[in-house]
Amino acid sequence: MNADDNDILLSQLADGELETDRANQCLLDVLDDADARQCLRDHLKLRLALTPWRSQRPGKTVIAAEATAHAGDRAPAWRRVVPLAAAAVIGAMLVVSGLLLTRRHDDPAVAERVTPEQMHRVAEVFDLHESVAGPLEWYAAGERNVRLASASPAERARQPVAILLRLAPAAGKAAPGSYLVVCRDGGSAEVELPESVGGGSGLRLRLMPSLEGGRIRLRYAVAVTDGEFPAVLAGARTLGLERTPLGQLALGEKLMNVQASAWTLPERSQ
Amino acid sequence: MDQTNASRLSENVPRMYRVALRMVGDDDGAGEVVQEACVKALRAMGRFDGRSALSTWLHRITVNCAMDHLRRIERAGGREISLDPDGAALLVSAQPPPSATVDQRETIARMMAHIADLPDDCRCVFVLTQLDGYSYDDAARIAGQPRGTVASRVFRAKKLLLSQLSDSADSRVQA
Repeated sequence: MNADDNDILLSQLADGELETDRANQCLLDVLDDADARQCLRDHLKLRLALTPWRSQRPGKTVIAAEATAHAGDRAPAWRRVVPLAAAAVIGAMLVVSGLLLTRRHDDPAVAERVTPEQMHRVAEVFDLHESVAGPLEWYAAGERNVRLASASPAERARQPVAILLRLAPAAGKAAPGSYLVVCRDGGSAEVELPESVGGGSGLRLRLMPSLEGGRIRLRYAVAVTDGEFPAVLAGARTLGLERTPLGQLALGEKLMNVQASAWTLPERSQ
Repeated sequence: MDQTNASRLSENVPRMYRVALRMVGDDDGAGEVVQEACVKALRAMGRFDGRSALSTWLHRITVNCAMDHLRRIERAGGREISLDPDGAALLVSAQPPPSATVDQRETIARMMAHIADLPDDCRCVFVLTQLDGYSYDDAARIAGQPRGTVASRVFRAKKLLLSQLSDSADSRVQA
């Protein structure tokens, strides 16, 4: 074996590409050879220098996705939970689209109105979740989590409605929180938001969208369920692509403006 | 798709992100590319015949999505990019990761400049194994080369880099 062959072995050793026995033999040889030790040291330094690059991950990747199966007599528990588990796994990737939506939505240039691209993306993500988990009663995505619940046969026939909810501090420059909820026309989605806003209290939503003459009428209740000061915001609004104020809600010591946009999603062909 | 496939795809996301990041050069763009690649992969998973490794197949999808992204930027009048036909060695991003320390950032920035100057055959497998984080076996499948060739080319790339880094360190000391 010539010197270059030895160095190639050392290069592979530094990259963790040798099988254990071969790596051990290689290490044993290196211990008795000063030049080889220097060569291995150089390869290891090179390898280590690029570790920060190799460790990079998507900045906003979801940590976990949680699946919620509603109790009741609509389907056997195993039928509802098993596919949801699969959806929860892919949720870890797909919520990224929710993030992109959020980020763009907060861009002042496009903040006031949902764009066709955003609508397309939301439809794509919802469609994809349904292709894995089966028909969904609702789907809720925050910045780091997805929650979803499977639909009963009756709910499957109802048209999905996307609701983009934004909670922005009434004062100060703290970043707003955005949530995407897709639920069904004529249904009632009770959702605990995947994340609380600004590190504040837990939020629970009850959303009841209905299509009335081509418009979306949303009855809603947003409740602060944890913390020292429970609070509820409830009402009804007709929503469209423009952001519409739903009211204000006290989240601990912060007063939040709650706004929403809504649109219908195309029904799945299958 | 069953849960196993979904889980395996999920495991590949960080590497897909790194491939996208070095090709498109910014975090937002890389996020979009990865999402698009995931959507395409999930839709096509039923047609994945298993003859190639999943990682190789996902790499191809990610590279294609990154290429599409770059073409869209070009068409929109953005930066001009020389599109490498297979994208394996394309290295647009020279920005060290924000999480790195100052020293690490400086080292990575210097290395990126030298990596860009490596001969094509060496750069391709070096980028796949040292930046993207593919194993030699995966890199061999992606680059269509025997594993032994990958090992020797990675070594040659390292040797060139070490020499260039040593030269540039000497020249800085002399300056």
